[in-house]
Formats: sequence, structure tokens, C-alpha cells
Amino acid sequence: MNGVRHGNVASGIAGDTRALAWALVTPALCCVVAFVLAPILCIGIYSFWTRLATGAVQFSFTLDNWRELFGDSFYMLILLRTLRLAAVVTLVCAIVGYGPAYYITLVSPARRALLVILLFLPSWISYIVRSMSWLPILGKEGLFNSLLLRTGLITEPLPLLYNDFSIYVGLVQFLLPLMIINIYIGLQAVDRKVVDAARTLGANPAQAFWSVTFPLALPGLAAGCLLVFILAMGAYITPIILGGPGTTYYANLVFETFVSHQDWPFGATLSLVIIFFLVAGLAGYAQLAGLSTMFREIRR
Amino acid sequence: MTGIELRHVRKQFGATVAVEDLNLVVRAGEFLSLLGPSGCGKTTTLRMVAGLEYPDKGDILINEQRINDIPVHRRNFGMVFQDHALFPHKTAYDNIAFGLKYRQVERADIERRVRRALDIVRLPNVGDRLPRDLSGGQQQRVALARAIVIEPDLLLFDEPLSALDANLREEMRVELKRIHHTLAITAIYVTHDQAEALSMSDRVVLMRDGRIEQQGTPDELYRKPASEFSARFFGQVNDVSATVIAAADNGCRVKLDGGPEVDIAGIRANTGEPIKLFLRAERAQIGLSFPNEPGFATFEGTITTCDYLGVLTRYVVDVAGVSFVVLQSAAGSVLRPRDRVTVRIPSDAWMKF
Amino acid sequence: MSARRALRSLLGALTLITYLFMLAPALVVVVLAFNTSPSSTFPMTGLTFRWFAELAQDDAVLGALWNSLVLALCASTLSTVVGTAAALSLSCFRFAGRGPMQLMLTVPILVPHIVLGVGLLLAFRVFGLAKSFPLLVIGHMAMTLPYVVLTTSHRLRAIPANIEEAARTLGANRIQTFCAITLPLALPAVLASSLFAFMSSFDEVTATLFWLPANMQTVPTQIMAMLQFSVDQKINALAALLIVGSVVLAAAALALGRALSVDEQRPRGKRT
Ligand SMILES: Nc1ncnc2c1ncn2[C@@H]1O[C@H](COP(=O)(O)OP(=O)(O)OP(=O)(O)O)[C@@H](O)[C@H]1O
Ligand SMILES: [Mg+2]
Repeated sequence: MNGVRHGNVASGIAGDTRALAWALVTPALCCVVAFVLAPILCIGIYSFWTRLATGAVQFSFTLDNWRELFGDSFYMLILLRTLRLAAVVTLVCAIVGYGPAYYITLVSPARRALLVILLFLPSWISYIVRSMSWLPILGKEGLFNSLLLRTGLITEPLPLLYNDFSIYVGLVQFLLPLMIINIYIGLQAVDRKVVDAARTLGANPAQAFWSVTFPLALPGLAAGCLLVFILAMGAYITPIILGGPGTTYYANLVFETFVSHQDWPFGATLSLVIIFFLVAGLAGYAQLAGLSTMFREIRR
Repeated sequence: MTGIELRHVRKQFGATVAVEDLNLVVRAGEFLSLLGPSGCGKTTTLRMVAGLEYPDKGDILINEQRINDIPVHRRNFGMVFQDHALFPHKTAYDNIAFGLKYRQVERADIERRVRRALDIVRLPNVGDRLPRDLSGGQQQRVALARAIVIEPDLLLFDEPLSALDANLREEMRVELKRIHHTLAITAIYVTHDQAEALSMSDRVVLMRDGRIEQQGTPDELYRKPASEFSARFFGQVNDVSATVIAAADNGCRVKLDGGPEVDIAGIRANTGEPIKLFLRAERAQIGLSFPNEPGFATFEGTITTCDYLGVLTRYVVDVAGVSFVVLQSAAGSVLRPRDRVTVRIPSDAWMKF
Repeated sequence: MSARRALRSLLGALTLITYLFMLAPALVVVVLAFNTSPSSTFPMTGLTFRWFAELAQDDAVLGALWNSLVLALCASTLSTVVGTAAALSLSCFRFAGRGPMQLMLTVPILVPHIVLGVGLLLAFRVFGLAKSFPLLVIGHMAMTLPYVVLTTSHRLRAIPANIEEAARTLGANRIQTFCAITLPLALPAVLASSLFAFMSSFDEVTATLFWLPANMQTVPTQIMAMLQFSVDQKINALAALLIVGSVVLAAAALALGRALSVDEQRPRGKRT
């Protein structure tokens, strides 16, 4: 019974507490509805409106925006490139991140606390600063190339910056902590006793991991993948800072459409595609693990 | 001193009825235990008395005054929780002083009363420590001091000792009893530990599925259980089917199914009637031989199993196809499985419901 | 057994490399900010504070800094107040629709900032509102709100209900209980999450680019603008300052949490 919050302490008037509960939650609810959900609805509406040749938006229904999106191989190509980017980054983060996340569960509580703190540290540091920190590292005269030249492994600087490579590196660096955190939360939710039980029943460590730990910790991995995939799809800053000619990704396209071309209905259409992937991802996650497991806390 | 009365109290959570038509009188100065298996509604009853839960039906009265609508913080009942519920951010001293602050007690007076409470629970030197720097027993003592310092009209305990280890529990039982004596305060004590209830209480209320199964002094509950449930709640009970072969005013003679014939005192039944008899395991005795005495039945049997429990040993004895469980002091026992033994049962030890 | 130990060491090494990969680049920037060479290249040529001094003279940067500070302060204050209230409601009361509500208040964490930026901009447009500083504040508040709700409600839920009940049996009414027990116990989480809200608002760039009124810059958008022209050393100096500021703030949040929180989960008993 410990830890279960009753809340319905006898008050004489039950409606009293309910009113208070609603009064406290309503402002936040209004904020989310007005500034997140309603705007997303606006995006949906805008994508069916017409842009006149003058650039003005006419409030008349049209499917032109959608026809343009699916009809033009230029947009489809960028979408596919972006999906590939998101998928590869997700995969790399999951593979690279699983080991460290698992390692954190193995070490002593003091060291675990330190590792978890360091894991959260990047999210306090500006995204833009983290992205641009690769410039002096990957540049022609950057840290890497100068080291490699010094050791004589190469004679010409490698083209590491302003291309897809640097974008992938920057995104992985940006998203890896989130992946590790989520995998770790998932692993933590696994009761150690269950794993021990599997061992006593004759499973070797690897078998116990694959048959017990991994499936039970799957919600964490899934949440991490969902988060990383969606954020990678919507990444705007990384391609801008670390990309070069011909490395336009989806979010850049959205930005260009809005800011340079001022084509709001088409920009809305492009944005809606990201939302579609977000909703699909959420639905998939809900199928797999139930949405309530999404936002769990770290137990230290 | 104040007594408290519950009349036709009922509480339901969703589909589960936690307490149903409960009638209970706690007399002034009495130490009353609510005893029962897990989920029988003890905590719910206590929380309703405390004002932490509002009864769906019925009344809670003090001095014939209905207190249902008096909110928790105006009831002046001290409560000790199972896991002590000390405020983790306040020192032991501030924990204890907490209730006094809301009673407009002057500062000097607070100091004096907190010190006295700490003395009563025999922890004079821990006032400036945080709860996490206290041992489990000390934490529970501070919680007790916090509850008694407000000079409550009623002291409520919800399994206050169940988180402590066995030795500490024993020690705290004595302490609690002593403090109850010193303060002469009415107390309701929730527990599922029958030994705790029997050893501490003036009166025990045994609950089952939200209702009162039986109430009485510890002795009454142990000696005169009103039902099979009551009987079984205090220790191990043998049940035997039998047929009455001769009836008298103050007893009868029965034939145990598949076993020997026995004389039984104090149970009336009609000849030929099949009955179910109960026998506490500790009322039967076994030995290699017993002298023939009136008022006892003896029969021969074979020990089938023998479990050493420390102070007691539990034997299972087979008497002509009927198994008896016998609990007996372990002192000097040399009995082993397959030993032939004599089982001796006082004729007034049998119970029937 | 030794194979297991080897595997563990291997994992440890992998973890070390991963952490270096996540954190070391920021260190490189901090180090480079002191380099005498005007371009951010290796090897280093010498140490200087010159770039920081130049930064202090740059009115555009100082203006952006001021804007960002005011913006982050307003947004984080608002989201802390609104978010803490919501967290209280979600974790201290039971009422129908609480689960979906919790989900609704936290799911915006998943929405990419580009979508948030586009959405709110279009919504402004629909209602005929021009880009302005208050709208920027609103956007940042909505963006940081879920973090406050999440952290604070987790913390509140970790406070055992019977502690509050104990306070009430001792004579404290609902409000007194809240002030004397609930609030002090939840305060570290509230403060830590408001610091985080401040930092995320201060650093936000993608959505901000959509919402920024004309001829106004925040620190991150100023960096973006500077990056368009050249990667000069002043940017490194600014970035270094931001990194150090973030780390200090994170450490402050951590220390706050440590100092004020009283750990309920610590094993008790057995020590006499
Ligand atoms: N807040 C609640 N919400 C829903 N059901 C409850 C609540 N409190 C108690 N119950 C249910 O009411 C019944 C009685 O519970 P109660 O806590 O009074 O039992 P108890 O006798 O104290 O048991 P235990 O010995 O396990 O503490 C149980 O079935 C329990 O599940
Ligand atoms: Mg209970």
C-alpha cells in the first residue's frame, strides 16, 4: 500500500477536490491545446489551401499541394534521403548505445549516478554549439586531419566536413544520449530477480539476456528508437551547419519553403508528413508497449 | 478519556466492499486490536476512524456525537503508520513538534513537551537527527512520540511493528504496552499478527471480509472461538469427522470416522448425527505412555512426520487411519517418525461449530 | 568467469569511447576559444583571452544575449508555474481522465521543433497575429512545459501519501500540509526543472527562427547568423561561454537536488 497515493482524503465535499484538481491542470492543458495541438491542426488545414501566384493564400480547398509533393520526384527524393538518414542514425544509435546503457546497469551505484549525470549533460548544452563543435574537429585543417597528417597515415586531408558524413556524425552525437537514456530506463525496469531466476533454471548469461532481459527491456529501446527517428527526421540545424552543397534534408526543405519561398500551404503540407510519421511511430509504440510506459523515470 | 463507537459503518472502493455494516464500541482507556487476514478491512476501518476515509454509510461517534464530518486535522487522534511516515526533511525533534505548532502551543512549552515525549519513548538524545539517520526501531519510536505528544483523545496504530525484525518487534510490544499504561489513553491497534493482538490487547476484534467475526478478550477468543475461522486464526487446528453414538446432557460419545471411539465433554448432539469436531494441535499430547486418568481419551498411534520448530515440535500422528497434528514442547523429546506413541486428548478440548 | 570479466571490460571501454564521442567535441571548442590563431584550426598556436574581449565589445551579441536572457526567464517562469500546478493535479488527485491528460501534457516532447515552429507560426497567421516577443515567450513556454510536468510529477509521486496523511492527523489542514510537507519535498524537482526549462529556452533555435520578430536576435540565432559568414574565433568564444554556462547551471541543478532532496529510498533499519 506504501507509495499508493489515495488523495481522496475525506473532505465532506468530494466535488471540492475535483474542482481543485481541474483548476490546477487546466492552464497547462490550455497551453498544450492552444500552442501545440491547435497549431498542428492549423498545419493540417493550411495544407489544403491554395497559394495564389501573388504569394497570397486563398482559403479555398485544393489538393494541389499534395499532388505537388507526391508528383515531384525532387521532394520524394529528399524525403527518401531523410528517411534513410533517420533510419541509419536510429540503427547506429541503437547498436552503439545498447552496450553503454547495459554497462551502466552493471556498475556500482556511485559510478552509475555519475554516468547517468554525464548522460544528461549534453541535453543542457546548446544543440547549435554541439553541432558546430564538429567544425574544428572534422575540418580540412581540423583536429582529425591534422592528427592523421602528422602521423603520416594520409598525405591529403580527408573530406570529412560539409557532406553527408559530417551530418551523420553530428546527428548521432546529438541523439545518442537520448537513445542511451531510454534503453537504460528500459533495462532498469527489468526485475533482476527474473534474470536470476532464468539463470537458476539453466540459462547461460547470453541466453538469459536474450530470452529475458532484452524482451523485457524492449519498451525502452523502442521509445529510444521512436524518439531518435522522429528527431532525426525533423533535424534542421545539423544539416545547415555540417552539411554542404547538395545535402538538403527534409527540415531544410520545410524551412526554405516557408522562409525563402513564402509558400505556406506547401510548407504546411511538407510539415504534415513529419507529423504523419510521428503519429505512425507512436501508434507502433503503443501497439508494442503501451503508451503509459513511454515517460518513465530513472531510478537511481 | 474518550471511547469511540462505530454504527453500521460501510465503505466500498469501486466494486470491492472493504467494510460492511460494522458495529464496534471501543471503551475509554481500552487497548483494542483489530485483527484479521490481509484485505479484511482493518486499515480501512482505522482510516475511517482517523478521518482519512469517509464512510459511505453509518456513523462514527464520540460521546454520542457524530464525528463523520469533522476533518482529519480537527479530530485530535494520534496515528502511527506502518512505515512510520516520518517527515524525511525534518529532524526527529521537528517531527515531534509538528503537531504542537498547529495547536498554538507556546515555544517553551513545545520544547518541554517534545523532550518529555522523547523521554517516554526512551530516545532522549536523537532530537537533532534526520529520520534517515535513525534505525528502524528508533524511527518507529519517534513516530510514536509524534503521535502521543499532541495528547490525543485516541491513539491509532496501523501495523506499527510489522516492518521491524522479530527481536525488535518483541521489545517494542512491551514498550507500547508500557506507554499505553503510562498515558492511560484509548488505543485501536491494527495487526494481522495474532500473537501481537493476544499479548497486547484488552480486547480483540477479529475481522473477516469487512465484517466482525468475533470480539472478546484475548482469552475468550482463544478458548471459545465462535467459528471455525476464529479457531483456525489462532494456531493449528485438527478437524475430524465423527458420528455420535451416545448422547448425554453434558457431552456425548462419538466414533471418529475410521478411528477409535472418544468421550467428549461440553458438546451436545443427537445420537446418530454426523458431526465435525475440531481440536487445537497444542491441546493434544503425545508420549510413550500415559497413566489412565478420567477426563482424558488415550489411543495408540504411529508418528508419521516430525517437524522441529524451535520451542515446539510438530508431530503428525496416525491413529487408525486418522491423522492428528500435535504441537508439543520440544524439551526432552526423543520421538521420531515410525515410533509407536500414545496420544492423549482432554475430553473438554474438542470444539464444534 | 574471466570471459565475463573480459566482456565487462570491453563494455566499459566501449562506454568510455561513446561518452568521449558525446562530450569531448564540446571540450575542443572550449580549448580552441583560447587559441591565438584567428581561424579555428589545429594545431594550437598560443593562448589568449582576446576573443572574449572582442565578444564583450560586440553589440549584436550583447543585444542577443539580453534578448535570450529575458526570453528564457519569462518562458521558464511561466512554464514552471503552469507546469508545477499541472503536476500537482496529476499526482495528488485521482480523477477521471488523468491518464490521457498526463499523456497529452508530455507527448509534445516528441514533436520535432520544426513542426512546433511551423504550427504556431501558422496559428498566429490564422488569428492575424504578427510575430512578436510575447508570442515568442508563449512558444517557448509551451515547448518547455512538458519537461516541468514530467520531472515534477515524478518527484511528487515519489512522496508517500501517508506522510501527508500523518501531517493531517497531527492537525495540519490541507493547505498547511501542502506548505509544510509537500512543497519542501517537491521543491528540488521544481527548481531543477525550471533551470532546465530556462536552459532549453535559452538554447532553442529551430522553432525560434520561425517565430523571431524582424530585426531581433537571440544568442543561438545570432550564432547561426555569424556562422553564415565565417567560422571566426568569436563564435568559439561565445560557444565556450555557453558550454561553461550550461555545465554550471546543470551542476547547480544537481547540487540543488542533492542539497534539498531527502532521499526516501535509502535503506533503513538495521543501523543502531
Ligand atoms: N484506496 C483504495 N482503493 C481501492 N481499494 C481499496 C483501497 N483501500 C483498500 N482497498 C481494498 O479494500 C479492502 C480492504 O483493505 P484494507 O487495506 O482495509 O485491508 P487490511 O485489512 O488493512 O489488509 P492488510 O492486512 O493487507 O493491510 C481490500 O480488498 C483492498 O484492496
Ligand atoms: Mg492494512
